[in-house]
Amino acid sequence: MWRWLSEALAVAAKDLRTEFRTRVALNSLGLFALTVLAAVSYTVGPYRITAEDRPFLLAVLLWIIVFFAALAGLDRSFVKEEESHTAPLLRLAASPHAVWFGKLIYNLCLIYALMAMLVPLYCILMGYKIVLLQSFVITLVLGGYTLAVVTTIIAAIIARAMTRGALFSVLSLPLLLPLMIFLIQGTTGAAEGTPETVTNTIRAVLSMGGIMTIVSGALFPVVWSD
Amino acid sequence: MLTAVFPESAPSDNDWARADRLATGVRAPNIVRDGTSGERVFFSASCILKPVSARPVVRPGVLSFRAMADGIRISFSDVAKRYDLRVIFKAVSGEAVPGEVLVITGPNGSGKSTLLSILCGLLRPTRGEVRHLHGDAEVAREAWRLHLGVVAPSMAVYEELDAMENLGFFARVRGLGPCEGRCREGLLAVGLDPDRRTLVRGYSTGMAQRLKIAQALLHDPAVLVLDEPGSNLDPAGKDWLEEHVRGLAAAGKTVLLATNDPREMDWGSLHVALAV
Repeated sequence: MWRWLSEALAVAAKDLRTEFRTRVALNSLGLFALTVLAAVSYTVGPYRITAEDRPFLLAVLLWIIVFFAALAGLDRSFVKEEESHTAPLLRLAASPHAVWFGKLIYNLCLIYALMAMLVPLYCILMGYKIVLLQSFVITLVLGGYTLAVVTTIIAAIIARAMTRGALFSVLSLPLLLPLMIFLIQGTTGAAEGTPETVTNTIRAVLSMGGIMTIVSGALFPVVWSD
Repeated sequence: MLTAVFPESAPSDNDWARADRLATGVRAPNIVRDGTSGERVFFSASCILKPVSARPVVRPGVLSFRAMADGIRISFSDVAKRYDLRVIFKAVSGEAVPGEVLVITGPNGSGKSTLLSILCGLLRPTRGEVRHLHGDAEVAREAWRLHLGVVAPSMAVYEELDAMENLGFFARVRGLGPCEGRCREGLLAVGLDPDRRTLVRGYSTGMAQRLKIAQALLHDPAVLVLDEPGSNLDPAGKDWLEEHVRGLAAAGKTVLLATNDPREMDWGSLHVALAV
């Protein structure tokens, strides 16, 4: 168990180190998020939406930015390995589960870094007031985790395909759409101050995250090795 | 059983001392010296004398040592590979055994690298069977990766890391833990400076090849797979590599080599020739 975890941490540390040196994924995620945020805040702003529509519409806009920023950059973890011809050596050296978990940790770091930068900025620029702050943070954390799990396994699948760019979005959307709907409901509930909505969302996202983790963990060795 | 093969001249006291030290290193201290007959001398920890049947891969003046019990065989029979309608090769059979270099030759496009990938377990054959055997038992897939070292043009190390970081990473994912000393020794052995913090992207192709060799040898694998290992190496590097590979084979490692270099072809006595 500890050895497996140590191998996974080695994969994650290697990916983070190479990412900080190249900044390919960070730039893709960050620039996309900041550009869309600037466009949204300039065109929509904090006062062009009525007060009663604000919790819902701002939640929609927030998760659209997060999801599409994730789609712009999270596939890099596996695509980079294939493009730079390092994947075969990694396949031979590391256990598949360690690779999967290491890549998941790396994607989690990216998505949480994106959220840490984006969400406060979004709330300030758009005047988004959250009533249930703790529930909002839990929704963000669980949403980020499930998003990372889904994008990690899909990135592994598409990395070996010839037409990677379009395939990542096409395969991700059917899996991410239900998650996105749940997260929008939860975020709206946190902004409006309705704990029941948030609790239901947390349950749903937790279940989805758990199922996706088990399925991804079981599927990954096949996707990675064959 | 341990079997030492000495050079063709009679062993000196020095040779015996080295053999004793080697045997102690593999936890078989009770060496029975038995016979000094003719061109080769055998001794055995279990007092059972058994001549080495395969042609000895021994360089004059170099003591070679075989730990046959630790060896892994790769047995492949009727292996064929096809991509859609394109047949790469069909019905290739052979066996790579401990203590020998199995040389795979053939013109460009004959499927040497593909065959090596299949034997490594990276690709599935379209037909045929590949077995990784330790004695008569199959080597488990999870364990196989820990016994295998590979150098191939299609397998790169990380360009955004330096040499020590690369070796440190491969050591950790192979479960060796932090082993800076071993990594430093590995780099020094292939002629790279461990204190040089240049990223691999700034390396020449020859230096990158040396790093790939260091990576393959880092965990002291029982099976070494080399696909054109001498490419991009300077003459001194090729000399070192030849001596090292011969030494590893003589020490009981299983070595597979795909090459078209006439000099490298001479490293092994077992050959598999592929045709287009």
